[in-house]
Amino acid sequence: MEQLKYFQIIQELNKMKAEGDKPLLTIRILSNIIVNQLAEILDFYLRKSNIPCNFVIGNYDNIIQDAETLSREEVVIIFWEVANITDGFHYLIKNLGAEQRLAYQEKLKNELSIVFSSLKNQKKVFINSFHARPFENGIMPGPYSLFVDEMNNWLSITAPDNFIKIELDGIFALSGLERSFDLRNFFSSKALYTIDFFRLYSTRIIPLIGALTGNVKKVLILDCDNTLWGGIIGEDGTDKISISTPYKMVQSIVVQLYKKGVLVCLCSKNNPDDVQEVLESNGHMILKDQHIVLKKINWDDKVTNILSIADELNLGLSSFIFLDDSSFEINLVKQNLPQVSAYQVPEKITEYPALMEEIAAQFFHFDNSADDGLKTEQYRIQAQRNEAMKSFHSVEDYLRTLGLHIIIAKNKPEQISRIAQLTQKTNQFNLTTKRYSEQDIEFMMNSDTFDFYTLSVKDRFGDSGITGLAIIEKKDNAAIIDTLLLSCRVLGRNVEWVFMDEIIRLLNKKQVNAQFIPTHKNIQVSNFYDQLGFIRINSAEDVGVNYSLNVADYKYHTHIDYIKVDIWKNN
Amino acid sequence: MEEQLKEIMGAVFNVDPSVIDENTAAGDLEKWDSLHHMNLVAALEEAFDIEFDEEEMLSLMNYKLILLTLQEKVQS
Repeated sequence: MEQLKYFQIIQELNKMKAEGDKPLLTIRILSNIIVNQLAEILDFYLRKSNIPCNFVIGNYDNIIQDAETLSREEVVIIFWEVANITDGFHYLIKNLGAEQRLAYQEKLKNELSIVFSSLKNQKKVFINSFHARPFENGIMPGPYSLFVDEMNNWLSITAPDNFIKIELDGIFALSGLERSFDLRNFFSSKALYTIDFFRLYSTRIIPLIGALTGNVKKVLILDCDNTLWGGIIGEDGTDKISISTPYKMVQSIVVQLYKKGVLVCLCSKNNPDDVQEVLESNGHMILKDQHIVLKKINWDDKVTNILSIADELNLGLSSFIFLDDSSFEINLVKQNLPQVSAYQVPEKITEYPALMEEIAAQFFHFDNSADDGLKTEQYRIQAQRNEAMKSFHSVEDYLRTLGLHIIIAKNKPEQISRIAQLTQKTNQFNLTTKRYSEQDIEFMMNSDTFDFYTLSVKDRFGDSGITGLAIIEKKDNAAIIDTLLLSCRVLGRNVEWVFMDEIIRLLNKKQVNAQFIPTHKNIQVSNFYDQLGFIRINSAEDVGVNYSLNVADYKYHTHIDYIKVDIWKNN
Repeated sequence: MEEQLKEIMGAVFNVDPSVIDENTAAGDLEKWDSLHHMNLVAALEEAFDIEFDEEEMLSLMNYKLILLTLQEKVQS
């Protein structure tokens, strides 16, 4: 990210705010010290990353009281500084007896417990780990550090699942204590941190906030020569390239990302057989052929190749990260595809693993849903299907041969994690694009108001897992479709029509209401409800279109007779 | 330097830089409170690569004094 001066950040922020992008989230900052500068710096970097948010700063040193009054939708950031739990605690702690120390610890734990219970249903809460910086920095822990350690252990064990602990030590290490803290302001105004600190904090926390809004990275595109290994296979020969420790470290991180579900692609100007030979037979390679979902090894320009990867994976360019050693290629991609995050391999190869760690942090997402490990496998199968498709004359003929089988399940608690993930990540076939955290889903599933229908799709090539979702709000004689989405992995197979048929049947209501909320990415479904026979009841351009269906008029898609349906009933 | 000072003050207090003149003081701008004063100090220190001591920080309460202090700092 570009390094603007603080006053330039404020200038730019004022301009961007005037453009009035619709905020995706409200972020509430609660603190017992002054952190107002964080709001504008984080606001700026979020807007730069296309995640405009609305910021609210809580009252100074009023965390407990403020926490009680929040709307569940708000995302909370908590700066709870031990140095200021009581005025002058950073020096008082030096001379406290064991009993007094415990008393302070108990008081802080009690206060935190109240906040936990106020915020346990919150969309997400980011709380900083406690620390003794910059007041106690010795190599042997003093009373302050011991106090902090106890509090951190307790925090890890006790905080609700929707609390994310942010470790600040990495940031202090990167920018140094002197550049992280400004004691002049702490002594005069209870403001502890510097602009530099807030800048680093913001860049680190953005992927986490992005993950809440569906703004997540999914694809890593790698060059080969001097990116995966040292040397050029076309010139040096496939057996002469060097895979030294830094390259092994980088490759290990890439494989780690693959295991998390990131789609790893290659895009390089080489002879394809050469690259294949290295992938298959170079014993030093940690990254193997099976980790890679798509390869564009040819002499076309990289912009064309990246576009074709986007097309084949059916994913938006803003979910792409591109890594190359050539400044020519990096600039070409930056100029033509500004949505793609492009990184250049550092000149000093020792700095390369650190850059890769930074890139890996961009792929952050909250769930640890078991589905992810399968993903590359599923996209590979998709590629095979596409091959098979070419030999058929009509799509229907082709679909008939697939042995499509869908399973619809209702209100399964074990699917909560995957349900939340689907709402956070699905952009294209998503009628309302409402993002929910796991806590949201759990809360809604436990209420009597909402029903969750998930869709799993199988065919003879493989199992796509849970790839569709309908969230239904029940109201007297009507049902309201709060969310309807399908992962792009299963599009083009007409499962959406059959899914709708079954939902309408299962709902067993006279009337179904629905809404289409347009975004930059969901134009493909703008007429979905029209096609199903829903009637438009209003269409305010900016907020979306409201629909209503008289179920008696619904036309079931009986001509789609090649999809087997199973309903997984509750026992 | 004067121009840049006006630009920075304009940004920090969210006013057009042309509003700032040599008579501008803390009471004249709605946003010039203690929080924004801290922002002003941070912005000036970063932009001019200088550091004020605590006494100076508190004294920077009008345009003329800020300019004077800046000139001293930057020259030395």
